[in-house]
Amino acid sequence: MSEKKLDEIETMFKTATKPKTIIDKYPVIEHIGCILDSSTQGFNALQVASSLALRLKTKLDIIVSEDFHKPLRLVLESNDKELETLSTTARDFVKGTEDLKANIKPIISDKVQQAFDLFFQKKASEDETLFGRLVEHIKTSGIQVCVLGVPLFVRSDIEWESMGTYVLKLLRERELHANWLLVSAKQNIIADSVLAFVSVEQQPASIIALYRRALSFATEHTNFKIVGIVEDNVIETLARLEISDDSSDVPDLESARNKLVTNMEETLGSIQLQSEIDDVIIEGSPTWEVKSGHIAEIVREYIESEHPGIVFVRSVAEISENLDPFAEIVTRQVLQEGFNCLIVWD
Amino acid sequence: MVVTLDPLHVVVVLIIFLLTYIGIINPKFDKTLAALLGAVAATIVLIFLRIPDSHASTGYVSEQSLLHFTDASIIALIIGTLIIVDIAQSSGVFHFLAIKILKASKGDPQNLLIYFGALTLILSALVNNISAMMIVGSLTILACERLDLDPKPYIITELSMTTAGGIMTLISSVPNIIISQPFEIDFVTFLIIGAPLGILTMVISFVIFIPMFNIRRAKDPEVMRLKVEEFDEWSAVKSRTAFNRSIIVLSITILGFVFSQQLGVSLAMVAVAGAVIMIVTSGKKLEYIFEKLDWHLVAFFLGLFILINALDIVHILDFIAEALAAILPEDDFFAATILLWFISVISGIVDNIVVAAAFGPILLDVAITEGYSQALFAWAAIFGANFGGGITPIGAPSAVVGLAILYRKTGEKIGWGEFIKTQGLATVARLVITTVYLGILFSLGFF
Repeated sequence: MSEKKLDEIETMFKTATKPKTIIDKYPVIEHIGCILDSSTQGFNALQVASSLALRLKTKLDIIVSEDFHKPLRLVLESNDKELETLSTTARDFVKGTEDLKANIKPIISDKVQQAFDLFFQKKASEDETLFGRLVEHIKTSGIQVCVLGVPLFVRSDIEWESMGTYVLKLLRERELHANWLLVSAKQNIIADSVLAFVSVEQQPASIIALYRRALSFATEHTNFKIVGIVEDNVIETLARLEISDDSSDVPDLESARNKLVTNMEETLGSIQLQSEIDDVIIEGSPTWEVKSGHIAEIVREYIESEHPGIVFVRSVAEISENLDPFAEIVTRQVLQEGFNCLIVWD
Repeated sequence: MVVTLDPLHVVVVLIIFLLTYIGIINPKFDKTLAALLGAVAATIVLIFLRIPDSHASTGYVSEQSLLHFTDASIIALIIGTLIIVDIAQSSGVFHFLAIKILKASKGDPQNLLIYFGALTLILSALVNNISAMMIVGSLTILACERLDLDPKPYIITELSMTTAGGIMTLISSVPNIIISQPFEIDFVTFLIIGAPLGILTMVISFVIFIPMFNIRRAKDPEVMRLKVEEFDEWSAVKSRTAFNRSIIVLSITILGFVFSQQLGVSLAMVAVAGAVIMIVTSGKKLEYIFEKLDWHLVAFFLGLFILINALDIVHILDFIAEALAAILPEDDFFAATILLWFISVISGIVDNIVVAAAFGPILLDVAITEGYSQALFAWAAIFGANFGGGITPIGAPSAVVGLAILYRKTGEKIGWGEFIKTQGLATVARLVITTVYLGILFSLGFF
């Protein structure tokens, strides 16, 4: 007798009597933006964004910009010529890409003088920077997904911290509700597959938000998988908590692991798609799996086997200034492996 | 012709076979590994002994002598159906059907026993009895929990139905496949002979089990109905598209089995083609399919077939056939009746797959050499192996699965005594009816 098969059949029945969270709609992406600077990853971001815009048939804004952390005056003096070159690059790229239509929006570019004048008319203080102007533009343009090149080179915390000052600033900008698709210097393509990671600690509402957002990226050919991760540290915490309840001495890690994995399976199993959505995702009927262990190792294992187009992770700590630890580890691992990572806020 | 045995060859092969068999029945030893070890040992020894083989290019027994095309075809049929069933099951088709049937019963205890029994019979007939037991058994436990019913009578009835369903189609159980191939029984013939007896034995099982377990009608039908209405048949269906595709491919494959003779293709070919179409339309990766395939089962058959062929090469099977021919009465029907009961008893003690694999070629040999009705012998062996497997808890894999489901979920055990008292009674009733059934068909000239 195959125990594994019996477990699988029982799990499929487990949700039969539980109330379902039926997902009957998902946000349709209509507007994608990308930020083009003079870096390799910036150009990768342009290529990925254009592929995505063509695939999802959305509007595309190419925001040509550079050096946002510097005071405006310095940018104008040092990068005026460079921004003009970048605008030309963007225009040539659009011309050379079949079917692609895009608006090129230079924050400061060939309309430097005009922007300069506007800036001085509008600016409130000497501290205002291009970063502020970029945030303002993204906020008012209705961009739902912003593609950003990430300068991540080596595997260390310091590099993560200095992953690009303006990237981090943008990620931490609490007024922006766009989802950030981070692209590394290693990849300029985007395969039609979605892999989403959720943590056992995430609330069902958070998981559903991620599910919906992942659906908005799916086409009829998308291979769509959700991986629930039960982290080692959560298992240890639960096992220790149960010691104090049972007054036994040894933490029962196996029992804690089983309990958490079952909870996660029940949560993921309780999410159901309505048929109209299901019909959209023909090949990639969403599948889910639950894994326990170390986050980074699980992420690496899945990335190596699935080669996903985009990896999704939802940061639940958007009201603070940082990504939550789970989202941070997943994002870092995905980018280090050279894949595209979308941080979902909504 | 008197069979002459070479004592050395016989002793060596018998020792290997017996050691392998001890390995197969020993719960501490992996039965697949035992079969493979036995096959490897038999192959090496037979090649080393340089036994003459007129069919081999070297004139002596070689690796090719030990695995025939028929064996490979049986294995292909088993692999094909395993893949089809696995993908269909993961798409939620069987779960959907099971919950629909549960709802149709309206939670009435008596209806539930009959409906789930009939569902087990149908799934055993069309899928296989192990998967049928897993699917219906798992839902039975959940439904009984919700309806405050004792699951034991239901599991026992379903176990009985896996045996009854096992004789309905050629692909319902492994002994059917193993015995049908050498006797050249096609899918439709199997269905015509096997299905009526399957339905008849199902009805008899209900007649025995409903009063035995005192299964009554619901006292409060509306409450029971509302309780089963809570179940959601779409819960296990992750993709409607995959679900629809599975149903289409499953239907096409069954039609392929039915019309295989008219199409001029073997059942193995239909199964493999169905499996390939299922893989393509499901969009699942081959790695995923192969990872889920029950390679233990496939390897077990491979080892088993090689061992049986080894027994054949040293003429042990011929010897048994000769001895059997000497014992059996001349009358076809009496001979078949003895075989039916004998194989049934043996299958209750020994794994019925092993019995089918060993007795298939022996009975064919006896029938051909002594002029018995081949079809009658084949059906006696098929019914005997299937029904006999239901006498004891270890006779058939589906019984092992059913008892394990009950124990895992409720902690309840059904001992040998209780099992034989319930299933044994049903089996004896079945064997009596089967004897009459075979007699009627034989007298009507079916065989």
